[in-house]
Parts: sequence; structure tokens; C-alpha cells
Amino acid sequence: MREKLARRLALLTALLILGLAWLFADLQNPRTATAASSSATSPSSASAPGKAPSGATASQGAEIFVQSGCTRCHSVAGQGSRRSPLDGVGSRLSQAEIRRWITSNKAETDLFVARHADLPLSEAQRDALTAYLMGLRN
Amino acid sequence: MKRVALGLAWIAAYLLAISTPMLLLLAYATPGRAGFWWDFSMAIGFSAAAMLGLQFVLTARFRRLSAPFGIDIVYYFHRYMAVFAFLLLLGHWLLLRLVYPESLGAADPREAPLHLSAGRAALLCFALLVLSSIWRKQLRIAYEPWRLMHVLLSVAGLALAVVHLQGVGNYSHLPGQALFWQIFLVLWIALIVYVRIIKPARMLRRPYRVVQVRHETGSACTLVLQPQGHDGLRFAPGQFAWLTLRASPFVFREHPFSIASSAATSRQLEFTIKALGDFTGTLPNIRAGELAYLDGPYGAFSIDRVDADAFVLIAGGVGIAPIASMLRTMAERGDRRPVLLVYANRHRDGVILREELESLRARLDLRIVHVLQEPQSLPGAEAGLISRELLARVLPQQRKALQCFVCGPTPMLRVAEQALHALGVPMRQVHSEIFDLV
Repeated sequence: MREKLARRLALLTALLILGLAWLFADLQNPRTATAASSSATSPSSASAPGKAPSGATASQGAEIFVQSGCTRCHSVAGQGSRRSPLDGVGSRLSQAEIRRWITSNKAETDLFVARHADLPLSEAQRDALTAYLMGLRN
Repeated sequence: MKRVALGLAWIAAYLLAISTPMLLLLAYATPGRAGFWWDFSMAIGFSAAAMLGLQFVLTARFRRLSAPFGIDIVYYFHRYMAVFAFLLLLGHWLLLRLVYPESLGAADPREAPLHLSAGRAALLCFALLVLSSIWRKQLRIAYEPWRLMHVLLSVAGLALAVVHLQGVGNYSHLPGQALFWQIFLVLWIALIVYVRIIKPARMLRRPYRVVQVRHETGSACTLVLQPQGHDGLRFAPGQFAWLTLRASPFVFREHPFSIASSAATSRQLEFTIKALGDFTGTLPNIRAGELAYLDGPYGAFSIDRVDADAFVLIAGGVGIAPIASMLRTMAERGDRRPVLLVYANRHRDGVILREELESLRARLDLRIVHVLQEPQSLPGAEAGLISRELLARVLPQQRKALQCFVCGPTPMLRVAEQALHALGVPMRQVHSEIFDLV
């Protein structure tokens, strides 16, 4: 009977933790904004983090950047995981290098092996993503 | 009242400590669109790490921390939290595995990055930890090897989790987040130093000597311990201590036993123990003159913690030990409050301390009801097991103010608790101790 106290407290803790985790995940992924961006006429809407580089291809690339979950590891202008910020990547790397980061797969064992880079993207999508990243300049 | 306030304060502190990493995340939430389940998975991973770190605090046996609840409840909570934290870890991994499989990469440790392999290894450690604890008896793991395994797996698991957290580095840029984990790590190491080194060293400086080994009826024996060069410990009747025999306090070959002697003369301590398990079976071989170490007293199972006009004490078998302490203490204090002792055993020969209990009746307002499965062996004994019908028959009519203490095997405990409640004793006045933790 006394263990009921421990059980209730454990349940309370569990609910608190799950509630907070839910709240955090919800705040990190605002549903209203996503809906707005997908329904917006221009695909270059607010969903693209950072200063939107000009050009339709680049804004398409920004969309791909978000959709592919790149922000799990990368951030642009403070959005996403700041473990590997990509601000100014367009100034640091050449277009060819950026393309290799995106397309390289695990079979390649040189410096360009990015962990999640082997994305199932079409040629056009890769071009768009590269264009977006090239536009991120200091 | 003070105890309740302290208890609530500890609960609040615990909840705050385990939710701090998440509160920090919330305070600096920067919508990143990583995906709902991604962020959820990260959040539960962090929380599990914080909870698992605090598991060590729960079993560090801080007397002040356990006092409001009773240390058995704290251990119970430790057990529940372990299972929950493990489920969180499992959820953390499963969500990524199912929703974002690409983020995990290769499972082969030769190919995978170190911090992801560390995370997987930590998960495996905690899985083994939980399984070996819940099913220790079914898996036939003896108590002492289990304990060693428990310590090694938990330290390894948490160390791997730290490597994992550091390596992944998600959110670690947030203000306070890195600081929190650094403070957490320092406290955690300090705690291990305290539990593994400082506390045993303190026990080593306060040794006891076995001055007598008394063989009791019912294949039980009583160890009489005399403090060596210090004044022993002060305890409340009904409390218990962890006893170390034939080992150094540093190797943690200790076992919890109720103190059976009077709390009014606390220099000599008596432990009445029945040869049941792998450790207690060796006790009859203990000789007078051997050294012993104690960690205690612990427990909320005591008549000194309640206001009562009358007591009902219910014991089964060796469960008489803490109750004997209560009765002996009352006798020495000249406490004449009425006591009903209901004592269950199989046979007359198994009744531990039978003659002494009989003689205590002269010094106390004590009524003894023996409940025996073979009642013909003792005239006047009740037949069978402790049941609601039996308690209804022997309990006094005025039950609202009774304080009841129940100690014995778990099935007996359950029956007695439910029966007392059904017979009109408020639940908060029914006290028991949970022995069988692992």
C-alpha cells in the first residue's frame, strides 16, 4: 500500500516529462507556420531560414533544405541545430565542393563524406539546394 | 507536519532537477523545423539522461532525504524511475530509427561515429540493468554479484551516455545547457566518491564487534553487536540497518536487517535473523569476536513516528524482529499503552522469541494472538493464516485511532493491509515496510 506513493510520484514525473517534451517539440515545429508556408503561393516563403538568396532555384533549394531535415544538424541564421552552422558556406566553399557534400555517399571515404548527405534527391533538386547554399554568403 | 513539508520539498527539488534540461530548451526554443518527432526524441533523451543521473542520488541513502518517505519507498521510486527512464531511452532511439532512419547511419560500430555507438552501447547497458534487476531471482543471479553488476553497468551506461551527449552536441550551444550538464557531471562524480569512498571510510572508523551469537527457536539466530570505540547508533524502534560481516565496507557485501533490540539502551544492538537466503544461511557460522560494520538507521516503520493511544502489531515469521524492538523499547520506557500482537507462523517450533514475548506481557499492556497453520501445537492459538475474519475477531472495537504495524512476507502484508482498511482503520495508520526490493 505504501508503495502507492512511489507509484503516484513516478506517474506524476512521467506525465511531467512527456508533457514538457511534447511542448518543446510543438514549439520547435510550429504547425501554423508550416501550414501557411505550404499554402502560400510562393514556395520561397518564411520557411527558408536566413536571408533568402535571390532566384527561384535558390528559394526552391531553401524549401528542400527544410523539407529534407537538414536543420537537424545544421543551422542557418540561428535556425536549426547549431552544431554545424552553414552561415557563409557560400563564401567558404566552391559550388563544386558544396555539390560534393550533398551528393557524396558512404562509399566515398575522403573528407567530403557528410553523414546524412546522401539524400534521395533529383538532379534538379540538387541544383536548387546547391544554389541556395551558394547564396549563403557572409 | 514538518516531515510532510520536507517530503514535498524533496519531491519539488527532484522534479525541478530532472526537468531543468527541458526547461532550458523551452526557454530558448528556436523553431528549427527539424520535425516534431525529432525534437520530441531529443527532449526525452535529455530527460532520460537527467533521470538516470539522479538514480544514484536516490540510492545514496541520504538519511535526511529518505526520512519523510521511508527509504524503502525511495528505493521503490528508484525502481519505477529506472523503468520509465529506460522506456524514454528506448523511445528516443526507436523514434529516430522509425521516423528518421537516415540520421542513425550504420549500426556497425566499425563504421558508425563514436558518439552514436556510445549511445547504442548505453542503451544496451541500461537494458541489461533493468532486466537483471526486475528478474534477478528468475534469472538466478545472487544478490552480491547482482549488486556489483548493477554498479558497473550503471556507471558504464551513464559514462557512455555522456560521451553520446557530448558527441551529438544538439542544443549544447543554448545558454545554460552546457553549464547544466557540467554541474550535473561534477555532482554525479562527487556522489560516487561520497558513496564509494567517504561513506565506507566513515563506517570503517566505527566498527562493531559480534559479542554473542544466540540461537533462537525457528532456525533463527540473534547477533549481538557491541560498538568499538564509539557510542553506536541511535535509532527508533522498528528501524533497520545495512549489516556487513566478514568483509570490508568498501566491497559492499552488506544486507539490510531490522534492529530487534530496545532503542532505549542503544549501545548494544541485536539483529534477529532467519537463515533463508544465500547470505543469511551463513550467519549461524559467525563467531563471537568477529568484526561487523553498520550503515543506518533507516526506515519509517516506527511507533515513534506516530501519535497513538493503542497499537496493533502484526508479524509473520522473522518479521517479528522490528516488532520485538518496539515491544522491548516500550517495556523499558514503561509505556503502558495497550498493544495487540498478532503473530503468524507455521508451527509452534517456528515461533521466534516465543518465551520472551510471553514474559513481556508482565511489563506491558500486551495481548498476544498466535496464528498457526498447525494450531494444535500451541494451546490457544488461532488456526490458519492471517485473514480479515480473524482480524475482525481479535481487533478492538474502537478502530479509528489504532496505529497498525505490519511486518512479514509480502502476501501476508497485502492481506493484512487490506483487511485492516476494510475493518475501519484509516490507511494512513497502517504502516509496513517493503523488504523484497530486488
